[in-house]
Amino acid sequence: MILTTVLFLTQQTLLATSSAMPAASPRLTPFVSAAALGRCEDPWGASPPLTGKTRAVHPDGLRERFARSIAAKGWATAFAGYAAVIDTTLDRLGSPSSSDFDQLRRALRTATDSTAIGLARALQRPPAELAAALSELDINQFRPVTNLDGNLIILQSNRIPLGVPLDSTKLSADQFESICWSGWSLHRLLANVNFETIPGALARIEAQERRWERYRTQGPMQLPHEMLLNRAKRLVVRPKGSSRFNPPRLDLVAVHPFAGIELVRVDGAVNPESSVAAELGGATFWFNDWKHHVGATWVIAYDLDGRIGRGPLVRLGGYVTAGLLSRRDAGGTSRKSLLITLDALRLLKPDVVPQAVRQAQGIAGEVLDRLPPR
Amino acid sequence: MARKILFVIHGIGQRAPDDAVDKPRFAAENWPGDVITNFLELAGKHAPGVDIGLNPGPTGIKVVPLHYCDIIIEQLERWDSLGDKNVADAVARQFPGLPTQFVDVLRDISTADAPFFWRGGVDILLYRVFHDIAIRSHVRAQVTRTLFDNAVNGVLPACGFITHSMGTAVMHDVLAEIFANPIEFGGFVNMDIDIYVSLANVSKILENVANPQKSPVRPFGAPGIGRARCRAFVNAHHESDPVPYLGLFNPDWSTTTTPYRDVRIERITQPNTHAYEGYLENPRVWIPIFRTLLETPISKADADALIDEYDATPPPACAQALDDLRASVKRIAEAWKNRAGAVGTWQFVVELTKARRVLAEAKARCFGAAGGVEGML
Repeated sequence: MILTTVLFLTQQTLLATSSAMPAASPRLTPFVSAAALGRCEDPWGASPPLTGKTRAVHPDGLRERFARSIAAKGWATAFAGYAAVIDTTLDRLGSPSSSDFDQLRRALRTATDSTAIGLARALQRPPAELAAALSELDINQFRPVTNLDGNLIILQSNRIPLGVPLDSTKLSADQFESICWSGWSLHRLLANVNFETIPGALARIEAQERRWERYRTQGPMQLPHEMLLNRAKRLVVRPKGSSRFNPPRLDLVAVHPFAGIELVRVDGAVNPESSVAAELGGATFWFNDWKHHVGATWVIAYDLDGRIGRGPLVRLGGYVTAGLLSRRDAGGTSRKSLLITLDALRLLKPDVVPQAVRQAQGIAGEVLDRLPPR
Repeated sequence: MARKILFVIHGIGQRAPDDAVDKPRFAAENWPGDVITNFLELAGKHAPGVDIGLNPGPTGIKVVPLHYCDIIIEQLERWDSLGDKNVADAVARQFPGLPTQFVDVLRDISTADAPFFWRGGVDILLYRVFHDIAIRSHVRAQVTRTLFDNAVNGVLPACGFITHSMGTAVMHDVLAEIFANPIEFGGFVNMDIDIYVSLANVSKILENVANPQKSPVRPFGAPGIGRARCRAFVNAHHESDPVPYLGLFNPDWSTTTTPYRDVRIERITQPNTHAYEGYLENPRVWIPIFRTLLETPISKADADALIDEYDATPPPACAQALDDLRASVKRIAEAWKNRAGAVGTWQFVVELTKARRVLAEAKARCFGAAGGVEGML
């Protein structure tokens, strides 16, 4: 089918190019510098000349000619059409024969032939694999570029690492222009195919970045040893697929000291008292696209009298983490209190403590009412 | 919109002044300092017809500074050990589970070196050990968003990269990860890299993703794993800059069969031989960028003349300090070499911290504490 298409397009091309005037292109401006190899800028946006041997391969002209295939995303058909038009045009410019031009023409034909076959195969693969398939084709090879020595080259790729020189001093003006424009035409078309995968990829990349930002800024502060622990966990339990690029869903908490506030019932009222505590071990779990997290740890806490309380602590995200501690008082009676914690950084904000107390009282008011008085 | 993009990424030690309100953001927005300004001045002089800048026209070349220092500063702000003079003890306190041998390695950083650790060396640990995935995600988002925003008619702009010091490792890892994961990162895997410039490359010792001497971030034609992605690759290292010795990046790519240039710089024009600006002002470095990305026709004769003119710049009038610098760097390089491969991130941090002090001392002896090019010191 591809061959049929190529043949059909070749016929069309022959008809089209045979009507073109053989006048020299007024657009050709080979730039002879000290480097002496010319300049080949992307002619995109500048309308193709009305006449001239090279007008058929102008990027805008080719795009207009194969607009229907391009609009229908018939990329393989469009590429085959481009290749056929280019081949025909270069053939017409090949006489009288010149070894430099023949070498370029052969190299270009080899590259377009292999790309045409590869592109047809790539387009048959699932959309998710398109970019990978295109990368195997070195799709950027058709763009004329300037190399490290300042010389113009084309078809630079893994197969031809240094590219093929595009030397304006060894080609006629039409030959130079036709290769230059052909390269840009093919480059633009293949770049369009590749671009199909770009918006989806960008959305994934930016979503990952937003997740990391939430993870870094909204999660519980990790001390260095916890970061090390969680990094090691990631090395042991290696995430797969897209998870490799996302933050972890589960973080371990270990030996994490913090300043806390204990809400205790004294004489029928709820009083906040400062406390020094440490989460001995536990975990934080992220959910809802890393927008929320919950955690549970086992804590020990010292009150102002140095008595040790122990109990579970639950992290519900946001500013407050609440734990239910039990400790024995001086008389040996077991007492319970509500512990709320504040990450050290957040303590710097003056409104955080009263806000946290209000929140804790609101959330756990019912619980506190049921605690035995201290 | 722009026709081409030139990405420029920083190394370690980017910090905001004490009076900055939002330090991470300040550092991220202001890190280029004179690096880009000086480069644009060179372009104005040697490529006057080229539209290049931070905000060029639609057919111009856009210079885009990339940053990750904001993540590092943000983290350091959360930890209160910043500025601790006794680095090893501070790290041991903060890393109670850390094996003793790692802490012992850090004890090798003397008290005099400590400021250099907290103003730079710690960045390496934060990238290499803790925040590598987050930092790569951060830089990847900047690169891909820029390419997308500057695409015209469904064609991504061609691009170039200038990387320096730890930025060589970060940028390498970002690109290598993109190239290795086309299903995840789609058509960005086919980005068109006109030139990749690494200055004082440390990616070999700090890489987190793939061996940079084999990864796809290599010049076309160089042997390696996966397809090569760079149309041109310039690796510049100053003989009197200790960092690239420690970085161990020394590919055996051919300069005749691949588009690779190994730029070895001998002349000391200023004592901070590691400075970003110092590398970029050297015509051996910027001429390849001008030729490839800016498409400026600079003939071999012109290039040789520019290099001769640069080399004729008189060195700073502090010959003894520069001789001592050369000797110190030689000692550091020899000692590193004699470790016979027993090197890793932790040892690198220690030696880099010492090396930065050596450079700072040379600078101070030549110009006084506040003089000379700051760079990343």
